[in-house]
Amino acid sequence: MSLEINPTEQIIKIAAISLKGRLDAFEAPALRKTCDEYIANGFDHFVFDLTDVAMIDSAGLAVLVSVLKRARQKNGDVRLVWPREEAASRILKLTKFDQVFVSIEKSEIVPKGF
Amino acid sequence: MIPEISAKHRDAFKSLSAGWMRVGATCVQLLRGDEVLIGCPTSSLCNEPSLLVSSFASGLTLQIYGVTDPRWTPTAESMLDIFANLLTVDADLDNLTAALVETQDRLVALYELTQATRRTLDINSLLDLLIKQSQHLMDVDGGFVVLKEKDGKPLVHQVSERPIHPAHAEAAATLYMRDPSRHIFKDSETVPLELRNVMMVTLPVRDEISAAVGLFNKTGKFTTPDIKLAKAIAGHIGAQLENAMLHKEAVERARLETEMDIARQVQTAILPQSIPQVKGLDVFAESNPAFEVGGDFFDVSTRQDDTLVFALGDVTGKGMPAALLMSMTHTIIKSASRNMPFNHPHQVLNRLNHDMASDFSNVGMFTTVMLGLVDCANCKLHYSNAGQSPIYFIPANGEPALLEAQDIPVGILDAVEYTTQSLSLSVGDVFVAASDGFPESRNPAGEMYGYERMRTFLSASRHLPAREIASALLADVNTFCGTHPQDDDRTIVILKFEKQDEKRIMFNESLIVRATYEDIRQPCERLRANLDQAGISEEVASLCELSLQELLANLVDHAYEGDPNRQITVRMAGSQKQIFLQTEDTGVPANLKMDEVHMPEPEDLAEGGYGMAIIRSLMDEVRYDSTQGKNIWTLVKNLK
Repeated sequence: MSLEINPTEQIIKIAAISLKGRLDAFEAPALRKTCDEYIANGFDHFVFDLTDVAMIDSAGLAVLVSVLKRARQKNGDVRLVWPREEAASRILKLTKFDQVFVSIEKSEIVPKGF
Repeated sequence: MIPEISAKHRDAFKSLSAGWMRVGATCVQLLRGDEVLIGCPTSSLCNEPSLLVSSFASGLTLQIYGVTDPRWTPTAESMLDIFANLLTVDADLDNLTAALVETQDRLVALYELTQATRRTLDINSLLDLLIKQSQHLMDVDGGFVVLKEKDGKPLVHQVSERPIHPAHAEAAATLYMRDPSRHIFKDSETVPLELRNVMMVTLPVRDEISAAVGLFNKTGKFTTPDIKLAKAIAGHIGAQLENAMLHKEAVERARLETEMDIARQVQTAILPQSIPQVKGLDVFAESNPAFEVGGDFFDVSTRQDDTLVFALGDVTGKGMPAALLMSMTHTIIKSASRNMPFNHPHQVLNRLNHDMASDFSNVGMFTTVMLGLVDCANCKLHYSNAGQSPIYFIPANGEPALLEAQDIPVGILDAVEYTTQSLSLSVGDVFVAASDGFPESRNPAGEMYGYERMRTFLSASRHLPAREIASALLADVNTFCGTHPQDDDRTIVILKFEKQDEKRIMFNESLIVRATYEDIRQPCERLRANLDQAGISEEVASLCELSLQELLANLVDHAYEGDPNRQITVRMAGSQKQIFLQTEDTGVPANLKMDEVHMPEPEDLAEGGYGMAIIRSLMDEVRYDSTQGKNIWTLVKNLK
């Protein structure tokens, strides 16, 4: 019985983006631009670290949904680290984003095992 | 012309006669017709035969008694010529001297006139002076001045011992005005019957007044120099007359201003200096008088039974008469309402009309007045309205109504039975009594602010405290009027019925921001700071902040379509009962039904449509009004 060697190579490009402050209509365009660049460079997995985001408005939500849709088209996904601030957290629940996005802990951003 | 015969003439005649005496003459005489001008010797019996020569040109005759020889005739003719020439030259000299003296007289008179006119600013004195000086200088019986303002009745001023009929003076002026180049009138067709001759010149005053001077019955006849002189006098007096008119107008203006000042003081003095407050009622009242003070008044007072009485009225007319009647009216209302039966404000109006009707009708004035009584304990408002408008009742939840006056104003009829209406009050209901100075304010194009615009504005402002409703309304009216001045007083009484513990206003401010994502952060941060300072919970504070952010971002996107040069007005107020947020923009009206706004389903992965859904789910009330180019969003969050 000889050894079968079937290597599987999988390169997953994950962009981990840490945000701080207000994710509102004024700031949303800058985030959208950053994400557009990552997607153009072949990234299809995103982690948004919202730990220190104090406030999110509908323009901010729109960017997150937009990135999610494009990532999923490439079989990618978007994970969120839940905001610490109640105000921001409350709006994600109100818009049922907790049912759309998978949330992870801040410690899970870097894959374990290395 | 033959001058006065002087001693010089007699001496010359005497020496020439001496020659005739030597050739045998007994008497030499110079005659004009039958009249002896000079005789030598002076008196003599002249019955001898004589030599007689006549000059047809001068009308003179020389008669030499005692000489009959015709050879002397040429000599006699020479003597007559010499004398005739001498007398003619002297006559010319006399005339010249007289003319010089007259010119001198006129110069002096004109100088005196100049001096005299400087001393007076009285229009009648100046006209007197004009005619008297002309009389003096031109030797006329009298004169008149006709002044006529455009579309006005002519005014006739006369100086004469025998004045002429004013209608004749007017007719003469009208005739002259038709052709001002013709000055002298003497034929019977154009001259009034009682006059011999008339000279007319223009009196130059100011463009809007046409004026003419007429001088009549000159001894002799009017000449061209008379016209020049009369024009010079009229020109001079005309200039001073214009000064006098300006002066009179300035004095009149100052008098009016003084009167208005006093009227304003009367009005200000009798209006309440502070507004009493009663439990469960937010009351505000104020009056903004126009320059020409109208007769607006108001009163707010509390009674011992814890009810509040308020009145608002408008006496017709302006200035002192209105102010005086207003103060009497005000006094009667004040004393009568103190003792009025609990729910019968009409009795006060009956009494007022009974006491004042004759005073009002004597001066042709009347007053509108609305009198109300608020009984908080029983949640009732009783009022009686004698012609006052507008009165609005804006229920907390419901359509605002313009309440028409039930009864006629006070002071029109002697016997009027006024009536009382009653309203039931609920928390948040707003009652507004105002003077017509608000809805009838006009903009430079002449459009009225209007009763409907006022109703809409009050409807959108009903959540504000009473004072804020008044100031926002006044600001809106002022914005509407722009540069058009305030024509009439603006007086308002606003009552807002509320629970006792709702009264405390925690914050109330408004700001204007540019429509950009960056600038709209400022009102959101102000709101947050106000809410935090008022001790509102973190949860409610962040919900309100987010809702305002969503609303403003929505206006940036949709009302103004990203135009950064447009502005949004943001008002925010908080009481212990509710948080009130309002925006005002002049962009594209929203085409949105709040009832149809729902949160997108998560599986749809919608990239938009969250904003208004967030507002709807977070706020207790979302209202949108769009009128007159203004879009107003109102958000209310009730506090538990």
